[in-house]
Amino acid sequence: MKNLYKLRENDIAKIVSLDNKNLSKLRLAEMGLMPGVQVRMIKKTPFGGPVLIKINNYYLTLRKEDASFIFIIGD
Amino acid sequence: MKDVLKVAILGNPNCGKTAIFNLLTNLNEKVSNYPGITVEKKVADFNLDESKKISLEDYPGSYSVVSQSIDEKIVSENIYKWIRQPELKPDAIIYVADANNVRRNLYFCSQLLELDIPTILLLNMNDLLINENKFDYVKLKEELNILNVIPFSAVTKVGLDELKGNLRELFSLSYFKKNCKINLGKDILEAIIPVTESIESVFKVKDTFRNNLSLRFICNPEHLDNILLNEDDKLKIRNSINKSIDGINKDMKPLLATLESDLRYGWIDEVLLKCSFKKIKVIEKKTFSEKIDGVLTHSFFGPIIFVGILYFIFQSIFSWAGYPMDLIDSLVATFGNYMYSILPDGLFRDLIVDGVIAGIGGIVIFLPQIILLMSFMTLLEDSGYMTRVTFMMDRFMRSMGLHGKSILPIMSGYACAIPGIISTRTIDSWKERLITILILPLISCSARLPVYVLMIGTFIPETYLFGFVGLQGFVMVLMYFLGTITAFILAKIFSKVLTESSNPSFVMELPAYRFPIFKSVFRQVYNRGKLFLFDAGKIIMIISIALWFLASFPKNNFGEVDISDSYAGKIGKTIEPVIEPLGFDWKIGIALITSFAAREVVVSTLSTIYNIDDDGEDMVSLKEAMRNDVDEKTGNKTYTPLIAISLMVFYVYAAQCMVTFAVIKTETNGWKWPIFMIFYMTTLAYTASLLVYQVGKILGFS
Repeated sequence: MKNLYKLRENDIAKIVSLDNKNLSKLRLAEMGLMPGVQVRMIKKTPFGGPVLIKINNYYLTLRKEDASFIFIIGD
Repeated sequence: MKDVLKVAILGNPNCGKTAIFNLLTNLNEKVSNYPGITVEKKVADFNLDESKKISLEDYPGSYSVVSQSIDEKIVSENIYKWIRQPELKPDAIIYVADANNVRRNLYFCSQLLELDIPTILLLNMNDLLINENKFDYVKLKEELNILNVIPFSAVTKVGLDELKGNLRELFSLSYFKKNCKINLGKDILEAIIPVTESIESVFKVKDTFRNNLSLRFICNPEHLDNILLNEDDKLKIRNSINKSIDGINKDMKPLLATLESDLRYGWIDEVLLKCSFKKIKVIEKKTFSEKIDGVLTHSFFGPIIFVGILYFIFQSIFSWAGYPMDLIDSLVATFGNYMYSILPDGLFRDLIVDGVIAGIGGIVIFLPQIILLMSFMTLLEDSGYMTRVTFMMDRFMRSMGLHGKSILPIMSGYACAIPGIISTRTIDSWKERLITILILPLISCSARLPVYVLMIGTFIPETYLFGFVGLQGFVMVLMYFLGTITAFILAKIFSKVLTESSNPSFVMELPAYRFPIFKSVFRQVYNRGKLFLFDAGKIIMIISIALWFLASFPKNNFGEVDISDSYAGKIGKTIEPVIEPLGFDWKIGIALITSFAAREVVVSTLSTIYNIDDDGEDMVSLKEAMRNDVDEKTGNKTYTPLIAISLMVFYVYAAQCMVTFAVIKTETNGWKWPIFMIFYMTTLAYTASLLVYQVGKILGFS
């Protein structure tokens, strides 16, 4: 399955599952990143830097470490 | 009925808590701690009416009771303290939420509602509320069963009167209904009985709240490490968790980590559904902020714009601040001369002119720069731009062993390391936070500036390199560059050597861009300036007077004193052999010692030494005095351009300003790190200075 880090700029996908470590998984969920939620990739920074995504009506930055454990399907 | 009510302001980061705090309280009220960025609880008292007094507490922004960074931990620790000792609870909570983002903001709110504290929910930034996010807030008040839900704006002051009215009513509020409504399923409840028992005995809580609290610890036992409890209690809870875990269905286990958030959001959605809240948002739509971000966080133009802004800030600090600084300088000199002329000759006059006035002058002169830098920082922070910088720079900062969030502390460090060190609390990862603290004092703070200005202005000729680069300005930039580059190199080295724990996870919300609120910005800058003048000022003042005493005594038979025979002179001469290889004489030695209190003291120290030395009719110009000073034994000049550079390099690296290390001691919980820093910085300063002076001499510079 594709992970969130691979999503191209401006593309939209739906979160299927989170496979992060416990506490970071909780924080991601607390921030609203949970299965079923739509994400749009806003901006990717070069050299494996963090990405900027939009969920619901707000913007979040995620590091590659977090984003590559969030699995998505195309929308 | 109480006389003073304790009211806590809580909420997510960047939703305008501090602006509301500043709106409710006024300038003349005392605010503790370093403001600028809320990193510690701030407290201010204010009067609603003659008899109604409120003690308002502003807490750092948090997303959850399950803390991830140090400032969230501060909030979390307070909340657990309220649970265990209900008498410490605030009388009310003002929960500030972003009106455009209610669902997520209600998450932390739902955790607070369980505490049974009367709560007022402010839907802040109502002036920016878009149609899509509107809902029935009156219904929300009923559903949550809280004191009030107020559409609010710190900019237009909508809702302020209603809030004040609610606060007044609090004084006669005697009964409060429970808010807690999240209920766990029967099967979960049965499985977690051992934990509910241990939680009940440790926290003395009952019913639904006890169950929810138990669930939090079962789902994330790591959370236990982040709260203040004695080891026996922690062990008790840990054992009961292990007992319960066995009883939980295997298929359930992967879901445990996010169970609390799933349940809470489930409950929030249920509540919001009744308030005609539109859950599904159109995420394709480009907002105004997003369009700006297309430029400001652009992979190529973004960093260029950031460097441009930095250049503008430093340019203005060094050029614009020059005018008020010259003015202050001449006013202090005029005032000193005036006092000299009206006071009778004697000890008292010397104390006032050479000790007190010189000391005050040395403090006030920094004010323009600190005010400018703090204004820029507050504007960048309040407009939402700093979070973009954090996002853009995270990759680069990580490659240097730091964190995207190290940018703000480092930028503050150019004004003063202390607020910088305190603002590292927002960094979620301990290792990167520690490294940021370790390198921060290498960033040239504004206290070094007068040393550079004095040395460059006196000894570096006003010539041009290649015909257009001013040599004086070039040397100045070089000193700032030296400190900054060394800081980054050392950060990289520390990141390789240190084995502290690091947390690679970092989720940050980018708030919408907004115009900073003038009153709030002014308030933060004002507090910062006041703290500098009075807190740092006190130290500098005491040092100035002590130094005046050490330099003025013992008097000889004629009632006069030669500085070299004074107490200060003797101290300076004692350390002279150690600093001689760096090119420094005993007078600089005295300045080095007084710099341990604060670097900027060096200028007033030298002023004091030369004023007393010359025993002139007027306050002599320090620059002239230093240029003309000669060594009594050799007849050589005491200062040369090479010595001036050696001295500046020493100041770039040296561990001075003991207040910084006292702050680091509290921030790192012990003397281990401050002592390490004093050791490495002193070594660095001595070696670098030695190299500059000795190699310079060999190369034929003087």
